[in-house]
Amino acid sequence: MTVLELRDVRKTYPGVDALAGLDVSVARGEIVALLGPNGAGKTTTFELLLGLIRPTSGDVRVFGQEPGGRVRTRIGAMLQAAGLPDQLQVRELVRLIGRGYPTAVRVDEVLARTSLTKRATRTVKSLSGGERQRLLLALALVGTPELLLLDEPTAAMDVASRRTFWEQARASVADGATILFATHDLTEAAAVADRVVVVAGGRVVADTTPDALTHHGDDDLEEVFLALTNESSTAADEGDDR
Amino acid sequence: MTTTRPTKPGSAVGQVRNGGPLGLVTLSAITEVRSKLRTPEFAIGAVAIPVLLYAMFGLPNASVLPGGTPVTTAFVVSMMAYGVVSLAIFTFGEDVAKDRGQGWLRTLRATPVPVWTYLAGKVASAVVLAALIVVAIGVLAATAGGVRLDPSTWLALGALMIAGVLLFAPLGFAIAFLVRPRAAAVIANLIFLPLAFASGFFMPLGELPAILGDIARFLPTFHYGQLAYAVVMPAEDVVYWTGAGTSPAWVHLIWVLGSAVVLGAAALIAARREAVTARG
Repeated sequence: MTVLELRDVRKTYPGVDALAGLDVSVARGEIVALLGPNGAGKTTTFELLLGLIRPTSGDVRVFGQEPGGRVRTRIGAMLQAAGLPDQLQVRELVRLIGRGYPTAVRVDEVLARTSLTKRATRTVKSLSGGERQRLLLALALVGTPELLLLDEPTAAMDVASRRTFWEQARASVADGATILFATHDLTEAAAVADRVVVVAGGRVVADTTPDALTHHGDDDLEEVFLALTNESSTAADEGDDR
Repeated sequence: MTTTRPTKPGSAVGQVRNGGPLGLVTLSAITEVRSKLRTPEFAIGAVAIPVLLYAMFGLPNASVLPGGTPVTTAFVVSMMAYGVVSLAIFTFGEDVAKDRGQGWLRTLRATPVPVWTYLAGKVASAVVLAALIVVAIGVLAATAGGVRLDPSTWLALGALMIAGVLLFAPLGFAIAFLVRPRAAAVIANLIFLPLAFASGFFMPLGELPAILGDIARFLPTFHYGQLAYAVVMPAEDVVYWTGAGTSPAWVHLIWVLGSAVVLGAAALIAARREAVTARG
């Protein structure tokens, strides 16, 4: 069953083609990595899937419906550089977001899963970068979502936190969830994902398994990535990751 | 870092079923109030300052207005109104703008929690804080100031003050959504201080430049003050205390309600425009 699908999606900002005919689909239970250089269109893809922006043309479907609205009750999302209210406590924030879902994991349980139990009464302002990312994961997991959309989720995390993070993510998949995540970390993508979608210049330039991408380990992943994205990228490499 | 066992998020164990929007608004309001009370600068600014101003300027004043109203009573209304309008402008204006600027509203839009429940939570928390202001000033006035009002008058005054939060919330929301987040604090202050002075909350308009008296008649806060003073004093004392001729209550009411509708519409248009812009 297809959980999400983007067909010939274009998104244009003044002077910039963020997406230039993107085609991606993800089936239930898959872990799919979205790889690409800065400006490739990864964040735009997530914003489209969450209904935060609309495509200039093309079709975006999540669970067969247009993104946004009630579909969000089936999604847990981690946005890149997501803003959080400084003065709320970790526990308060998790409880609040959990209340938006039809059912939610108990706050203590989700805090334990994301190693935030000892930070439960801390305010968001006092968290480190890694703790903040774990809080965003807690917010994404609290509603027992069927789909996790994670935009560079492990940025600012240390090695142990990354490990815990992916343990939790895999546990979600084992329970029937689907994950689409963006990353710059090729090793992480290869280690975690069932499938890797490489995006450059707003288009898909490769959509295959990590193993096939490197010809069963014969090629260096980084070299393959650079070759793919250098050939196809027409987007700006600097600045905002549109 | 704590080591944790992987647990399936979808497992039925440890799950709770949630209620509808009312439960969400209630939780949002409780969370807001708790957050506000642990922010000393806000609690001091919003709740303590009106109480302290009353203690400093209201309590020591033993004068009596020509119609027999003690100045300590007039100051009760002034400081309550000052506190309530301040709360509405800063809670909704500066605070919501800050959340906008930090990207919290964008994050929230990516969750199933509707933004309107967040705004409703802000309103509800402001109502609670307004009640705190009313009770604190009321208790201080009744105990230390010897202010004596009928229970029905206290209730009417309290109700009008709570209504004030709702009536001036649109002004705060308009600031929050019309102004760039970084400029919101400055704009809120630029709007609030002249409003408070020109509405006679601090001193009679007759003691201020004539132009302020002329401007005051176009300010919703002035008309709100006129309604509030009329709850506790006769018309002649309202005129004496505010330094401005009073009008029938319906005139003041139309000004206050009309401005709430106009500002609310402006805030709504600005919020929708932002949502549309964000959607490209």
